[in-house]
Parts: sequence; C-alpha cells; structure tokens
Amino acid sequence: MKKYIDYIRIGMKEHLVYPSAVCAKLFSKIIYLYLQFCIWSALFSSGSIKNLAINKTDTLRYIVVATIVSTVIECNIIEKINAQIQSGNIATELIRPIGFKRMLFSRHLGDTAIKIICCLLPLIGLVKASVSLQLLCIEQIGFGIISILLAYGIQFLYSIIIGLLAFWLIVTWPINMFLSAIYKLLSGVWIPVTMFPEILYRINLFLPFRAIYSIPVSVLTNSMKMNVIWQSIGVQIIWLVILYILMQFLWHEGRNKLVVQGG
Amino acid sequence: MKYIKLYLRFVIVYMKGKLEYHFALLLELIANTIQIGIYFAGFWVIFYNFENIAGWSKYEVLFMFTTSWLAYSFSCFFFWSPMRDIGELVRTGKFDLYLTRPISPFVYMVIQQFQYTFLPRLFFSVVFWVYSMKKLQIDWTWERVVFYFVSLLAAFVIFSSITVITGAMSFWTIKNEEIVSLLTDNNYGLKNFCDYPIQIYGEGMQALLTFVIPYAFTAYYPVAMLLGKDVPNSYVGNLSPVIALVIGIISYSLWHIGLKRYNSTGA
Repeated sequence: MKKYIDYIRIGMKEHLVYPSAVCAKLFSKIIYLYLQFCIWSALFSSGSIKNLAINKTDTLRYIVVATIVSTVIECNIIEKINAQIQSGNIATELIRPIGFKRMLFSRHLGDTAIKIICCLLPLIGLVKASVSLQLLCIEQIGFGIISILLAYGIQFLYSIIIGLLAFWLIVTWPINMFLSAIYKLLSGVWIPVTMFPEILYRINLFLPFRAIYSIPVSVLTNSMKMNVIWQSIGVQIIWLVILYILMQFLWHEGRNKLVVQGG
Repeated sequence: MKYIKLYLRFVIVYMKGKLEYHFALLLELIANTIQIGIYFAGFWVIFYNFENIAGWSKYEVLFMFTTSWLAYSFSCFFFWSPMRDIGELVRTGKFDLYLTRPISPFVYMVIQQFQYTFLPRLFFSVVFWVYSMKKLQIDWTWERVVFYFVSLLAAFVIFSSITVITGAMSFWTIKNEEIVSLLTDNNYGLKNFCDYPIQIYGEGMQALLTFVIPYAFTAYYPVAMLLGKDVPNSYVGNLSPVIALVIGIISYSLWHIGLKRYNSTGA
C-alpha cells in the first residue's frame, strides 16, 4: 500500500515542478468558461429558440458545472502509456514488483489532487464570486459525488484503453485526436446532450461518452426523480464494468504480443 | 522565383519522407478531417436549437467564421509548424543549422515543410464558406469584392504575425508552448472567441480582441461591415489593413531583434 501512496506523491510532484503550466491550465479553464458562458447567454437572449427542452438557467448551470467538473475528470495518461510502449521502457515497468495499472492510477490520483487544489477550488471560488446562479441541486449532492467518482473511473479506464492500443498501432495520436473530437461532442462537455437532434441522441445512448460528463452533471444540477437517478448511476456502473473487462482483455493480449528490441 | 523553385523541391522531399509511412499519413489526414468535421457538427447542433445569436443568423455566423478559418488555415499552412518547432530548436541549439544556410533562416524554416494536416481544415472552410455565401446572397459589387479580398489578406497577415510573434518569443523565454496553446488551442484558445460575433462578450474582452490581440479584425469587423451589422467601436470597423500592417511590422522587427539576440546553447 505504501508504495502506491508514494506514487500518488510522485504524481503530485510532477505537477508542482512546473507551476507555470498549472497556472496556464487554470487560466485556460477560466477563458473557456467565460467563452461558454457568453455564447450560451447570447444564444438564449437572442430570442430565437426553437424546439428546446431545456431553459436558459438550466443550460448555464449545466455548462458551468460541466466545465468545473472537467478539471477533475480529465486524464492525460494516454501519452504516457504510448511513450512507454513505443520506447520499450514498459519492460522496466513490468519487472517492478508493483502493478502497472495500479501505479498509473496512483499517479493519476496525485495528479487529480493537485488539480483539485490548483484548478477546481479557485474556479469554484471565482464562479461563486462572479455568477449569481444556484448551481447545484443540494438534495442530490450525495448522488452527484458518487456519479462523479464513477465518471472519474470511466474516464480513467477509457484513457488506459486508448493508451494500450499502442501495443498494436504504435502511433496512437491520430486515434486519440479523432476520439477526443467525438468525445468533446458526445460527452456533453461542450453542448448539453438534451439539445442533440433525435438521431444523435439515440446513437449516443449506446456509447460510453455521456456517462463521463452528461450523467454526473445532470445529477448535480437537475432535480430528478429517485428512479431516474438510480437509472443514471446504473448506466455508469454498467459502463465501468464493460470498460474494465475490455481493459483487462487488451492488457493481457497486448502484454503477450509485446516484443521489446534491445535493452 | 528562386524561392518557388526551392519550395517545390522541398515539398517533394518532405512528402517523399512522409509517404514512407503512408498509413500514418492517411491516419493523420482522417483524424484531422474528423476533428474539423465534428466542430461543424457541433455548430450545426447549436443552430439546430437556435435561430440566431446576437442578431446574426446561422449563415452569417458561418460566413464569418469560415472567412476567419480560411485565412487561418492558409496562415498555419506556412507558419504554424516552424513557429511551433522554434522553441525546441532554440532550446537544443539546433537553430545554428538554420543560420548556416545561404538563405534567411525564416524563409528556410517556412519553405522546408508542407503542412498537409491543415488541408482538411482548409477544405471544410472552403466548402462551408461557399455554402454560406450561397445562402446569404450578398450583392457583390466591385467595391465589396475588393473590400472583402483586402480583408482576407489582412486576416492572413494578422494570423501569421501573431504566430510569428509567439514564435519569436522563444528567443527570450525559451518555452513558448503555453502562450501558443493559450492563443490557438482548439478547445481553450483565445482564437475560438472569434468564431462568434464579439458583441456577445463583455467590454473588456471586446477591447482585448480588438486592440491587444486583434483577432476580431480577421473576420468579425470586415464581415460585419460587409453585412451592414451594428458593431461596437464602429470607428475601427474598416481598419483591418492598418492593423495588419502595424502587427506585421511588429512581428517583423521582433523576429529580427530575437534573431540578433540568439546565442547558441549547444556545443
């Protein structure tokens, strides 16, 4: 256990070495939040709403909370895994007496801890000070947190799966690039999924993306019936299990396939 | 003339190198196409729910931001990759190599590469640009054509100058990636602000986009003038060419000052 705690610490330190990068991260989040806020406010005040199931306040709440939550959920382990598989350094990781995936997760936890302190809390403070919106649905906050934790897990598994594809593809950045574009649209971090046209909404029901942003943010901001909440969390758990099985499968197959030259 | 010949030669060499890994090349092009396609899909989803934004119809906004993207794609086609790499070149001292060539290092950096990854963006921009123009039915008089053409040129100069300025910064700060991503990142960058009419932002942001980082001149002001829209600070509406000239001179001098200042780091 102690060794994993050490990895959490390493994950934290990795960030603290570059304070300017952390500042830039926070700053870019603020800019993005401002952009989103302005666009959606302007869209609603233009008075040209067509068939819409969601009103201005709900949309703004959704957008603000989604952006804030994204600071915690984001996961950037894909490139790390890629680099290790490409260079063959993964061989050294594999002979260590610790689990590779657990090590990654511990580092990611450390990474998140720093993001909570340096991005999430300042962002919440800023939003509280500048926007007079009741953002959260207080009665559901417990479920909201559970949902965020599940989303955090799903995002981690999703990232690790993409990263592991490097066993077969060697270069994964194009895959990563186009998946992140699809992810940006379908997860609901950019546009609330309730605004999607019917077809897109239907397709999205069968993809894991909405379990990462759309579901937790909806649970946090919308007051819902009890069974809807349980249903949402159920969907997340199902995806967590599916992705976990897929990840284990890829890991075993990939590791058997791995040939490291030289060394 | 000599540069064009040289450029063609370089393009052939560059593409030969890339075609060695034609699968990766194809993948890159597909990934870029999907990435840009998704952006337009998102735009479509937004305007599936709303008729207009701040008095601009869907097609007007589309026309505005494809104008901006057109200039941006052309500009990036030449300047994005050299200015992204220069930080690394200065840090490692590899920039020395460019100083020893018989042509200016700037020209050399620009013509030795061929950023085909911007072709999908350019393609989509042109398609939707033509599409929006058809829908808008602008009365293209001679003055308007000239005005629009000059504005496009100005937009190209503005985007390129900003890119060159961020590149030249690496002669001083050594690490310019954060500034570059703050300006042009596809998700969080300041450039994204000029995809929509700027009156939807607060006055501070409008001033920033007009006077400090003049992205608003790349499309918003010229197109607003062309379509006869109300604009904040209307007295600056027609100033795109002037702004382009000023920022062009700034970037030119900054590059040359930086170049003089460059000391090799390596052995």
